[in-house]
Amino acid sequence: MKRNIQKKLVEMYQSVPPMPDAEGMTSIIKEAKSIKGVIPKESSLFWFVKTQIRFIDIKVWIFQILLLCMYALFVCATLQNTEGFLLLVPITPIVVLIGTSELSRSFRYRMAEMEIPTHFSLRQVLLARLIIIVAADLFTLTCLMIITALKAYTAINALILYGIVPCLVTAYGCLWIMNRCNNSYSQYYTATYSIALSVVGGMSVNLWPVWYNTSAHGIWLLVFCLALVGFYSEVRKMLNNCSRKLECFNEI
Amino acid sequence: MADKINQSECETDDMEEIIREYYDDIYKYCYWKIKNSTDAQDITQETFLRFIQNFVNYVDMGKPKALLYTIARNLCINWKRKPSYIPLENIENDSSFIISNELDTVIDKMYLHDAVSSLPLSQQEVLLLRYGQDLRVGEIATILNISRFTVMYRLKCAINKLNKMKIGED
Repeated sequence: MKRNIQKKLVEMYQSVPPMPDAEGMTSIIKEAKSIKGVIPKESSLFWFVKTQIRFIDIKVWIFQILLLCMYALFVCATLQNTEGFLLLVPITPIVVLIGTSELSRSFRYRMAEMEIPTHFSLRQVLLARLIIIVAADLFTLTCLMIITALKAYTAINALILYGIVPCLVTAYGCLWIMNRCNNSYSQYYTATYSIALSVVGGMSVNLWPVWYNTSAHGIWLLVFCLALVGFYSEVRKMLNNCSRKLECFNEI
Repeated sequence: MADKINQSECETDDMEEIIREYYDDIYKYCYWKIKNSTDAQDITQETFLRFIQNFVNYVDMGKPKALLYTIARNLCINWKRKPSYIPLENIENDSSFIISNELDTVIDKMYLHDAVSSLPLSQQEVLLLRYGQDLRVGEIATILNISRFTVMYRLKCAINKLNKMKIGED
């Protein structure tokens, strides 16, 4: 009986009237041929990441460059002693904040406009954006550290630590907020968190100078490890959250 | 032809091959979703146009079959949302199509069509993709973005309901 139903269904679905326009397929093939030579050859994730760069808001790049220029000017004009390298601590959360706003936008709106016409999943789109933003942040951070190192005669390992740790703590915190609060307020929360970290970092230079003694480097390393683990777990969580496809594909 | 489009397949000749292979299937799928041959062909054309455009801008990734059906399905949904769309209740109003078939077969098919139409839309969808398009359960799951288990469950429910309506009896 079941096989009979299946057979009847196949027969029913096969019996469709002929196409009204027999030339339909030919015209589509002509259309396909007309685009010959336009098709790009590259198709790797690297190529996708490259194409994603132009979708990043121009403000992100402008703010990064402005921040870098202002920092360079400030350091060159005012830095008089070796303690000046501590300016790096309050500035790094701001570097992360600039990129986070872009990532937050992609995550919050689920990048529907990207996923529908492409065949990339939201997970891939977000991963590409994360790579771009992290690369941009690392570049800015490196520039900041080079500028600081040129002016302040500080041990390079301490400089890296004071640059990377606040950056990583900020990134971890921002991702933590975005994973738990996926609404229009998340951007304000991440901004508040980053600015608060920046303020605490700035205040700590004068209020708690003991934090920056050589003996405290062990604590900084511990914080670095914890933040790195936290950052990794939050990135994984964010990508897992994005694994599901768009709901609109399932509407009927 | 393999489902996977890789870099070397991103050539126009391959696209032509894809069009030749799937054009009829997509037309049949659209016809059963829209129940009008002219509109079905328009949607089929639009499906392949969009496929070609996406092929130019976004290469790689995947399964042309699933992508084609997803585009066609979304276009059919959009088509139905248009205020001018009037659903046709009968299997086909094209008289030339009916005359070309035996009367018994036509009546049988109309009865079957009514029975299928009485099923929930989600079950009709999986029946069309499974028996109308001969797609595998995994492929249907990808197109509808549901689990394989859900596809099998819906298929089983649909067949059982048709069974209760005594569709399988000769």
